[in-house]
Amino acid sequence: MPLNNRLKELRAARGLNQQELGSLVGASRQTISLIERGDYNPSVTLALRIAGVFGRPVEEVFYLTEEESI
Amino acid sequence: MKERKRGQGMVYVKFALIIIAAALVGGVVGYGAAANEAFLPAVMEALDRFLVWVGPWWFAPVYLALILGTVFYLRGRALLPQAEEDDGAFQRADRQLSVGLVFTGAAVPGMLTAMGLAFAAAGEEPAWMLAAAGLLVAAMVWAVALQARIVSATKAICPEKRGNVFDTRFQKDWYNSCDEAERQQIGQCSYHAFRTTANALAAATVVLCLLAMFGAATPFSVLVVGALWLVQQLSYLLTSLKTQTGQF
Repeated sequence: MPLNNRLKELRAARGLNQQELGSLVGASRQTISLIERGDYNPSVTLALRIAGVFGRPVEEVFYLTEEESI
Repeated sequence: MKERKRGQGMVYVKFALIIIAAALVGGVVGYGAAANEAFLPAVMEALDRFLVWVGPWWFAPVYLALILGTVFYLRGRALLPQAEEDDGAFQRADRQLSVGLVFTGAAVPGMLTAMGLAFAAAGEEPAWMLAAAGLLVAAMVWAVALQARIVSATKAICPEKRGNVFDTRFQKDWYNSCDEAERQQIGQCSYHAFRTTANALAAATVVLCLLAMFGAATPFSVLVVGALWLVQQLSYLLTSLKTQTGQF
């Protein structure tokens, strides 16, 4: 099941760029970009830190979606 | 469950087929080489003559790589002012700088190989020897300066990065300043590099062993390639043992 997220949307709503969000959670700008594109699944620690920045439970930022069966 | 067992059975069949195919190819190549005993040494001699004939021109691809590396660096640098605010510009700048680093990274082993070949071509001619040394020094200075500029530009868009290219601890400092995703990427790249070099070294060892059978490869070249393969395997396996058990 792929992990999706609402990071880009939440970040835009808070008026943060990738660099600023990265600084807040102790991650690089590239890592934030990779997570937004779905190319990297963050560790539990990083996911919790990101959710903490937006003041939301982690499952509101990251969620699993069913894979489409062929 | 049955499907899985059948799949596993196919693995052994495939493995047996690869061994048979390798034995057949080895047999045919060996027979062909034995039937034309003088052929392989003659081919190797012609190849050696060609390598020497090219001489200092072996530096041409090295300088081409450095030119391309510089072009990508300049393209990346031009995007730096926008990269701070614009995430899209950051991605493009990062990519240009990374491609620049690929060319610079390729130039370093290239220039040392070119130096060896150019020195072999120079023979007893001091003028050619000096020309080769001059080309090497110029390429080395260019490569190091370019690497330093690329790293400095990368630090401008990724201020958390640490390390000085002129410091022997550079790779360690850079790695320590990487976060979890970047370390995972480094792990993936290392795994890919390990597999590629293991295959290349295995193939080179087999080819050199075949050539050695007909006197077309020197014992020293077989030893060098074999030793490199051994170093590669042992460094991986011993590091793996250390990370699992905490000791060698």
